[in-house]
Amino acid sequence: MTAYTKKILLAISDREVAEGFSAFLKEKGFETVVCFDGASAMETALRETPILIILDLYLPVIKGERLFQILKNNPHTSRVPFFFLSESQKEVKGFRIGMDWFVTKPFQWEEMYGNMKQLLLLRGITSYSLGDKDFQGRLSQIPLADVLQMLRLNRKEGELTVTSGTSSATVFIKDGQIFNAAIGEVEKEKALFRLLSWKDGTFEFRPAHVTAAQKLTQSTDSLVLEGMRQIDEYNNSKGLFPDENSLLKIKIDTSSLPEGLKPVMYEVLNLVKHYPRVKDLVDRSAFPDFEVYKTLVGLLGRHILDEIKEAKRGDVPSKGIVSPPRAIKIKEKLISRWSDMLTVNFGKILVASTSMILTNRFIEACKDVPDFLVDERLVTSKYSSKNTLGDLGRLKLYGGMDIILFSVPTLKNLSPLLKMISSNVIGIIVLWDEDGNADIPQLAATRNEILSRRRVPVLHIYAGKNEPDKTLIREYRNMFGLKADDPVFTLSSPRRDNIQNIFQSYFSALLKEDYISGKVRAI
Amino acid sequence: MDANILKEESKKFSLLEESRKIVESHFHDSIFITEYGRLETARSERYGISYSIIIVHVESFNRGKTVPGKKELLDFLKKLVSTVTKVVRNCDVTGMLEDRRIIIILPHTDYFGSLITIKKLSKALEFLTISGEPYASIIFSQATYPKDASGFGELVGTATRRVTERLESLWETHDLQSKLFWEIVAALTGGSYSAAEYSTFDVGADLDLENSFVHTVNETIIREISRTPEKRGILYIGTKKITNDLPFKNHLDSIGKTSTKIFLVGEGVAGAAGVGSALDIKNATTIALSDHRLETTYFTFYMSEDCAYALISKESWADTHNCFHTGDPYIVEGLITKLQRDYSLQEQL
Repeated sequence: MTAYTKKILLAISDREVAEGFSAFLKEKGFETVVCFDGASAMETALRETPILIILDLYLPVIKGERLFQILKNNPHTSRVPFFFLSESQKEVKGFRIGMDWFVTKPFQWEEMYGNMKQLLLLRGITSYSLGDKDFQGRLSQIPLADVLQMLRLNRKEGELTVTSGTSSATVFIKDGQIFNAAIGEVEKEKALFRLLSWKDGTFEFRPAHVTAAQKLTQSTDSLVLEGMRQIDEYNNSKGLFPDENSLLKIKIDTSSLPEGLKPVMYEVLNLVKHYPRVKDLVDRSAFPDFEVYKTLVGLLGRHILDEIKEAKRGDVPSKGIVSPPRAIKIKEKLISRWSDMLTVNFGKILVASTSMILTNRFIEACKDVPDFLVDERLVTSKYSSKNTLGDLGRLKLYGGMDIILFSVPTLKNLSPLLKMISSNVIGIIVLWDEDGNADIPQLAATRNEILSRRRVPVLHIYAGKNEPDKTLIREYRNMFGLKADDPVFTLSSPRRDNIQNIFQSYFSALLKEDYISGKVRAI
Repeated sequence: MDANILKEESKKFSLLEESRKIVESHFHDSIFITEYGRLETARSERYGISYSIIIVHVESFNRGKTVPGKKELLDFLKKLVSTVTKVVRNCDVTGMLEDRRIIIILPHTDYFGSLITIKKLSKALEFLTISGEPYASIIFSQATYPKDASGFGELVGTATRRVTERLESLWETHDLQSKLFWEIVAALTGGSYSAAEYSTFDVGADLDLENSFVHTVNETIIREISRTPEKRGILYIGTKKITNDLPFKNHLDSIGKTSTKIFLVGEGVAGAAGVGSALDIKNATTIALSDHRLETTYFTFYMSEDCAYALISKESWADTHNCFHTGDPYIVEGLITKLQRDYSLQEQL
C-alpha cells in the first residue's frame, strides 16, 4: 500500500554522510530510507517508490549511474527525480534538466535541502504532502481505538500508518470513516481487527487525498466496537481453539452438506483442502480471525473436521526458494532483457497442460515450495474441469516480485487470447501424461505460439502417475522437438523430481541464457 | 478495361508533386520533418517523455474506380492539408512524408493521445472520405516513442508498416468501416475464421469450452487491468442485463482505482435476481441500451497501451454460442468507435 508515499531514498556508500543527512531530513519532517549499495537501493526504490532519490555515483554492487539508467526506464520510478552526489563534476547519461540535480563535494546540507525542496515543488509535490504529519504517538499511550474515534470526530482524511516490530499497517480514512485497512495482503475487517489487538508500536497520521477503494462500509464506531468485542471473545475462548500448528482433516463428503450454511463455513471447508494447517488456513481466510476460529471449533465439535495436533513442518525449509541476491539478479535480468515489461512487480509463467488433473497435481506439488500461495478461485472453481484460464497460484520472491502461475487453454483458434494474456510472460510450463498423447501436438503448438512472441525458458514436465519408460520419453522429446540436453522433469514416483529443483532449474535458465524480446526460438 | 488493371492504374496517382504547390504555412516538406523528428526524439529522451507520429495515407479514390486529374488532386490535397492543420494542435508539426503520405508529429503525446487525434481527423475528413466526389480512402496509422521505436526513422518505419497491416486487416478487406455496429457483429460471428489475429470458435455445455468461458475471459481481463492499474485503457463489456449477480462482479468490485475506463453495457438495469435491490456495481460505468439484440449477444472490447482484444459471443442453437475474437487493434478500435457512434455515446478512448 504505497499509494501516497513521502519517502526519500538515500543511496549513499559513506555511512557517516548517509546517516547524517538522513537525520537532518528527518528533523525537517521527511521520512527516509537509507541504502549503502546499489542492489539494495534498487530493491527499495522499486518497493517503496520514493518521491526523491539521493544517489551517490560511486555506489558499490551497482554503480550509481547504472542504477539511474535502470530506475529511469522503469515505469514505477521513471518520474522520480534524482539528486546526484559526486566527488567531482561528471556527465551522467540521460540526465534530465529540470528534473534531476547534481551536487559536488563539499556537501552543504541546508543548501541541498533548499534545492531538493525546490525540485520537489517543481514536480508538483507541495509542502502540504511533504512530511507533514498531522499527529503521531505510541500505542502504549493512546490505544488505536481512541485514535480512530478522534479521527472520526474531526472528520479527517488521510492515511494512518501503524508500526509494531517488523509489521506495518495502513488504515485509509476519509471524512472520518474507515475506508479500508491493510496489513500486507490482509485487508478489510480482518486487518482492522488484527490491528486493534496491537498493544505496542507507533502510529502516525498524514493528511492526504485518499484514492483507495472503499472496502469497509460500516461506520467507524460499529467497526471499532465489533473489533473490540471479537478481541475480547477471542482472548476469553483462546483455550478452546485448535493449536495453530495442528493439521485439519475433513471427515465427511463436503458435497453432502446442506445449503444455506454460513459463508465462512463453506470457505473454511474449501480452504482446508489446500491449507490443512490451522495457522495457514486462518491467514488465508477472508473472514476475521475470531470468526474463523469459532467456525473451526464448531466443525471440530460436530466431527466434520479432525484435528491432528502438534504437527511438524516436515522437510519444508523455512527460507525462500530464491536468495535475496538471486532475486535481485532476476529482477535486473528482467528489466534489462525485456523492454516491454509492464512492471517488475510480477512476471507470468504460463502453464499449458493436456488435462486439469495434471495441473492440479502440479499445483499440489508446488505447495512444498516456500512462499507459494495457491489461488483457490481457479483450482476449486466449478468451471475448472477443462481448458482453464486464469491464475493458479503465485510464488513470492524477495523484493516484492510475484511469479504468477497462469493456466492457459490449449485449443486451436485461441491465438488472439494467448496474445492478450502474454504480457509480462517470463516462462512456460508444459505438463502432459500418456492419457493426453493425442493432445500433445496442440500443446506443443500452444507453446510455440507463446514463444513466437517472446523467447522465454520452458519447463517440460511429465506429470503422469506412472513413470514412463525411456522409449516413451524419447518419443515425447521428438514430439516437443527437444534437444538431447533439454531437461524433461517428472512428477511420477519413484524418480520424482523435487519441485524446488524444478523451479531452481527455471531460474538458472532465466539468468543464464540471453533471452531477447520478440525473437522466435528455433525449435 | 479489366477491374484489377483499373484498380492498379488508379493507385498510380501522385500527391508529392502537387504538395509542392501547397502554400499552407504550417505544412512542411520531408527534409524539415525528418530534422524535426530527430530533434523531438532527442528532446523526449532527455526529459523522459513520449511523443507520437500519425501517418495519413491516401490509398485510392472511389475505391479504385477513379483516377483523378491533376487539378482535382491539387484541390483534394489543399482541402486535406487545410483540415489536418486545423484539427491538430499548434505544437503539432505536419508535413509531407512521401508520395501520398502526410505525417504529423505530436510532441508530448502517448498512444491514447494519438488515437484521439486520429478519431478527430477521421471525423473532420468525412467530407472527403464519405461525401467527397470522388471520395477518398484514407488510412491512418500511428506509432509512439519510446514504446514502438528508439529513433525517428524506426518510428516512421513502424507507422508505415502499420499502414500495410491496416490495409490487410479484416476491417479494411471486409469494408467493415461502411457497416453499422450490429451489421459488423453479424458479419464477424457469422463467418468462420482461423487466422493468428482473428478466429472463431464455439462454446457450449458439451463442447471443449463451456459457456462460462466468456465470463472467465472477462474476469481475466479485469484481473489484467488490476495488475497494472496505472496503465491507460478502455473496456466495454456487453451483457444481457446489468445486475448485481454478474459473474465477474466480484473481480470488478475488488480492483480499486485504475486508469482504465470500464463500461458495462446491457439492455436495461435490473436488481439482483429480480428482487429489485439497488444496483451496486463498483469501478465501472453502466450504460443501459434499449436494444433486444443485447439479449443474445455478449461482447468484450478491451484496448490498452499494450494490447487489444475483442470477443463477441452470439447465442446459437441448443445452448451454444458462436464466438469471434481478435487481437487486431484496428478491429477492436473500430468496434469501439462504431458502438459509441451508433448509440451516440461519448466518443472516447
